[in-house]
Amino acid sequence: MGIIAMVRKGDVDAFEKLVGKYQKMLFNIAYRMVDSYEDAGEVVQDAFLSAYRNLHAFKGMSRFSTWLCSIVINLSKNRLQQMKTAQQHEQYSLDDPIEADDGPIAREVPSGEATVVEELEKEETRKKVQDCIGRLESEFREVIVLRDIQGFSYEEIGGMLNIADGTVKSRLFRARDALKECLKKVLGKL
Amino acid sequence: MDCKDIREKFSAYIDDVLSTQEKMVIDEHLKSCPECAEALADLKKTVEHVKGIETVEPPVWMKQKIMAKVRAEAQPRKGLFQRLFYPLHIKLPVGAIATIAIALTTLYIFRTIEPGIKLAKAPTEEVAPQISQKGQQPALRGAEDKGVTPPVLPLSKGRSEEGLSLEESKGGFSGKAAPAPERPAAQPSISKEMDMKADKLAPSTVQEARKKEVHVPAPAKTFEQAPATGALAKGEARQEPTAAGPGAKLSYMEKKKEEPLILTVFVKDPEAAGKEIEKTLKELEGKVVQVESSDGKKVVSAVLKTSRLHKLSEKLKVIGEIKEKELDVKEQERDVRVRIELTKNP
Repeated sequence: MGIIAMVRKGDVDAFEKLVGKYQKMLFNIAYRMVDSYEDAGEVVQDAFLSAYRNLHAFKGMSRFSTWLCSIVINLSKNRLQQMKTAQQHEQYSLDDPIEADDGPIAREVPSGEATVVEELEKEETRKKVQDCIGRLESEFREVIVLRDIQGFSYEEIGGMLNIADGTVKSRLFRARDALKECLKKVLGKL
Repeated sequence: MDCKDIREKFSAYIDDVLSTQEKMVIDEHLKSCPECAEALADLKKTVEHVKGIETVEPPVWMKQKIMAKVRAEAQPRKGLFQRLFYPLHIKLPVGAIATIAIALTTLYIFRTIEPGIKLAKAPTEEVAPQISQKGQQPALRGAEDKGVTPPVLPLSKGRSEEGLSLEESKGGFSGKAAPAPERPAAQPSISKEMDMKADKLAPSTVQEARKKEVHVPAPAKTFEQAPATGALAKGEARQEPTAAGPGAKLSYMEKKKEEPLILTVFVKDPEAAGKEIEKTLKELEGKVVQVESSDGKKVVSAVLKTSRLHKLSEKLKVIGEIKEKELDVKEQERDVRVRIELTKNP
């Protein structure tokens, strides 16, 4: 009997095995999505609880990990929306884009530290990459996370996000292109 | 295909998800377009940067926290009804035990306070006549003063002649009593309740009886009523605490039996006779409870076995002239209270 079937029959210990197996992957997805360690933890908890409650809805048409990822992605997007709403009620950030007639202009001026960035440690680079990922819209962020960080296939991503493969391709291109531009700004040189 | 179209396929080109033909077109374009080649190189580096970011470890407490929530979720939720009431297999034994406990407690409390209830009852039975007598005496006196003769209640002559009987002392009227115009006569040792009735019905008779009790010689059939009853009531009230011990266990009817036998003896010297009777009582293994003296009259109250009553009667006959001819005690052996009233011969 599979673990999923055991959980369905009320075996909570079997579900604990699933948590142990997938918690790291789900946490990393959530962390890259919400860009907050604490919020990522809460998202993953909610995701597992939601999975336990809705296990009957899992028909086995996809991999269980894919199903779990889709839950985490959805919860992460919800969390992002909440955070965005909360930020609107707080004082504006210096990094917020400036609204202009021809569209928003990034407040952050490209620094002339590009040559210094090369000397930064990998940790600093990763941080900037994460910052750039965090600046993407959630629909682009999710495909970057799922494809480049988690390595899911286009088909799997399409299944998780309930979009066509072509849409995955185009979103991924836009996401990478935006990320490239961002990294060029923060790193100066790729 | 221009540069824009070529660059849009770079992402898929990197992931190697393009068809062979599309890939060949891009390769051909890259050979002749250094800008697009640079753009592809930048995109590849971007992807490498993204793929190169480290994985983070989740908090160590996360799994425990998740499982705590899941376990809480897994526990079946009790409905409001279940939360308010225990299941039947628990509720029934608990209810039965509680019922038994309440019953035992009630029984214990009842047994504990039972003597108290009886003690409380006794005085009301005996004090009531005193109160009513007090209330009635002025009325009687008033009737006498006015010269009104109340209806006469004939006394049971024959009954008195039969002597005192414990059976009779239980109270109530007997069919043996001599026929009377209005109603059967009361016995000499009738209960106080009946005394009260007699008082109410024939005050003058009671008055006469009181007079006769003091002045009329022994053969005369007197009706020892109010004075004796009144004294008796007081005596009983005084003796009640002593009787409270074993007596407290007696039922109400048994208590009524405890009314003393009243023996009226006419003697020359009540004082001397009293001492002699006290001595006699001791000889008969009786217990002198109380000795009263007033107006040349002496009253000795004692407790005696029923079997010794006959001997006491014989002795009293020697000492003086006993009003009651014979003590007819047929009850089984028990202690009986005796009140011997020694009155000076007229």
